[in-house]
Amino acid sequence: MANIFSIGQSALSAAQAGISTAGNNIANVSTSGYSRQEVVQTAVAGQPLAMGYLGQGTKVAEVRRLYNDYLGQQLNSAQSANQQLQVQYTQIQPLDQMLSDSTSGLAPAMQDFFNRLQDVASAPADAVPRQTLLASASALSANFNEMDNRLQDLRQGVNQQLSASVDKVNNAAKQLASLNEAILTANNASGGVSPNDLLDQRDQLVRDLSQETRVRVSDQGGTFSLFLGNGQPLVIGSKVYALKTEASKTDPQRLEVSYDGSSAPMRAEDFGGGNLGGLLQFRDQTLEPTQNALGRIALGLASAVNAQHQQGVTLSGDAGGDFFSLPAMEVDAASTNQGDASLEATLSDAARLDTSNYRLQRVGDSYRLLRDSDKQVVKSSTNLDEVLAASADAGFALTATGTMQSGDEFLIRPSARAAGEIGVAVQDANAIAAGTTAGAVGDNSNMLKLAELQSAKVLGGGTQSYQSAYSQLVGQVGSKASELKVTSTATAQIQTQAERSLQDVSGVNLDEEAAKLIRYQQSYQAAGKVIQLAKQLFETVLSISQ
Amino acid sequence: MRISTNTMFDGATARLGQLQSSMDRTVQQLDSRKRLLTAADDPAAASRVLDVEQATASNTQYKSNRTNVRNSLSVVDGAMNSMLDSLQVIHEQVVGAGNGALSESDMSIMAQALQGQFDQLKSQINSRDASGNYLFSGYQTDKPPFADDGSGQLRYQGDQGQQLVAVDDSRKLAMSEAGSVLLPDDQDGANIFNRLQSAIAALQPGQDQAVRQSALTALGSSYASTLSSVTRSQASVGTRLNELEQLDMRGSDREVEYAAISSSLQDLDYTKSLSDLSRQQLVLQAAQKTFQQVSGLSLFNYIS
Repeated sequence: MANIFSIGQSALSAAQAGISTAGNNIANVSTSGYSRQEVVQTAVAGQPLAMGYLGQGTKVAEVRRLYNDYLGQQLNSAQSANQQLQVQYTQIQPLDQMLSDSTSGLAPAMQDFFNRLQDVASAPADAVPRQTLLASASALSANFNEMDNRLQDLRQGVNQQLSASVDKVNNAAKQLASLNEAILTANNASGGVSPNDLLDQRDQLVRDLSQETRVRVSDQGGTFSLFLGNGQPLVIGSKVYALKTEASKTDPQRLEVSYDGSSAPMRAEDFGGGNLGGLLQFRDQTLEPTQNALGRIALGLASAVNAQHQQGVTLSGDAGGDFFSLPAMEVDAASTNQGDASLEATLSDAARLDTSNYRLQRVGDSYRLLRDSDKQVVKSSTNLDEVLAASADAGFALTATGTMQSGDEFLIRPSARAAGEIGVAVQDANAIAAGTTAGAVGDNSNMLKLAELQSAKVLGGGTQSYQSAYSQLVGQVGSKASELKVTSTATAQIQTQAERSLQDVSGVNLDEEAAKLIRYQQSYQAAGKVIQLAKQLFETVLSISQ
Repeated sequence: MRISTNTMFDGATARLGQLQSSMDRTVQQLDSRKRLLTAADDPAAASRVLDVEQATASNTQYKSNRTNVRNSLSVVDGAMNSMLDSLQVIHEQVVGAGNGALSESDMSIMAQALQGQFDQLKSQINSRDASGNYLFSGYQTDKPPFADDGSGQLRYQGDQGQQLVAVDDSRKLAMSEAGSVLLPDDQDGANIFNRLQSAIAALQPGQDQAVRQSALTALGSSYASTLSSVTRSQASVGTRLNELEQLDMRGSDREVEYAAISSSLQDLDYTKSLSDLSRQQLVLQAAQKTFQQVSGLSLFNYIS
């Protein structure tokens, strides 16, 4: 009889466990990273008697977490692939919008400038068209400045996001390492019962990390080790390898990400995905080339206008000066340089300029000129002059003074600053050199030549005019944006699918829990009946002796 | 297959979001009346639109350049007409002088008439445009083309410069003619003003008959050569005005052509967009209704 009581009792506890597990599932239906749990019951081993084994009731063997590692990993990698594209698509949209603005953009400003040149050509002696030309030139350079400003803002935004992302990675890595320890402790303390909520938290951390970079997880006896896309460890057991951000040694405005103790800047490929991979990719492949392309148009236009303007004479008969003012070409010595060398770059042929940055390095006894865009060595030699001369093919001339030591580096950005710093040099309308004959106020021959620059093919190896270079840039950014739109939509769908597959296993379904509640409620009622019956049986026995 | 409650809600909200954003896009297109909202919508077309807009703006600029040239040439043409009138009078006077003996009073009247044409011709060749620039002094538009060189004689003060203006992609036309071309020097280095001055002096009372005859003869030949150069220049101006007219027609054709290209590249098909919008509205309403109904289903409704 005592046996029946204890059987009923075990059924009551099992039903209670079932109800509270279902309740917990219901409570966490919206908790991110929560995996539904279920009660696993087993029968208590029977009591051997002469007639056979008599059942001893039930017990809760385990509260099991329903989770699928494989689906979890698929979701993680879908997330980092998707995030890499999403962050780029988000970044490129303002760029695309800015360049596509055909009413207030650069294209109409450039057009207006050339039109006003023609107006001066029609009335070279009149003050009004000259004043209007100066105003139009200011508007054009202000337009270049403004666009460059916005690109600079985007660059700044990339810096901020990079450091926020690195902070997230470092925090998540730290938390993950301490969760590793907590899980190990819990496992030992409970004798192998899995600490479901800690496991959920850890899986969720890996998921959060996957937003920032691709990570590979290796489960070593219940402890997670995490590796970045390039295989470098991020967490091993309780050891954390931190990332850090620091200003580039050749460009203080550019934030680089580097790996634990190393100072080498990491590249998009090192992360292989996530926000970090996407942001670096966007900066290298879209933002900086766009800024350089814009600068190249400003530099090419201003230097050609200046050269032609200098051929003319002003109203007062003086030789024409610079029409536009331009900044010097940007050359930065690495902050780590040991030698006393300094380097200067000047424009030699705008038609040969591309939109890449260049580096001059000394490695051992050898010097080399590197092109950043495709990481190609343009020229390598132990003779520095030969290497410097090789820049002529890229449209600029280099002059070095002093001595470079091995390991020293210079970053040359031929067109990086032109758009941001172009200005109008001519202050006085009378200083516009419209003609070529001193004292002939009606001479418009130089203006005609200046106006002809509009259709001259002077960029991209003599294949593009300034305006076609600009419309090509608009098309390129547009294509990239369109490509990102398509690919990011696809990866978002893949991620949604992966989320769904995992949710199909781990997600709580309220109807299912409702059904379980009813089932366990009935089990509980039935178990109660068993106990009630046992009590009656007991009373029957007691009443015999009365 | 089991499905989680979250999936049901997330899926439905994501679908509603997608429907709303595609509707928003259609609304933006209708607002801007453009098919292309950014270059990403059709990169090739967007880049082409910029090229076409540039061509349109250049075309408009050439049109305004042509107007400038036409205005200038019209003034030039008018001045030339007056010069021809003056030359005609001079010619009549020279011919009249050849008819028999002249009394002193005849000669005095003749001298006055020639002086009148001298002033008239001088004023025409020294014409200015609306901004006060001399039309016939080449590049020296701030100097009167014919002025006293200090010896009491009118001499050309300008140069041979021709103010060219771009009137089309590859066509430039001169806005005027140099005064030295219109009123050229003869083989003795004298121009019609010098000849007129000599003739007027020779027509004064008491002058030698032979001197008078030779001055009138020289004036006659200067008249003939000047007439032919003014006529030639006027013909050239007329040709330019005709060409401007043709270029204007070509320019307007192009304007229409460019507008058509630009429109085909970026303009919106209203009928299609409006029907898209009502379809999208319908789908969104259906999705909202479905969501409301599905989310209302729960077993908990039956547990009491």
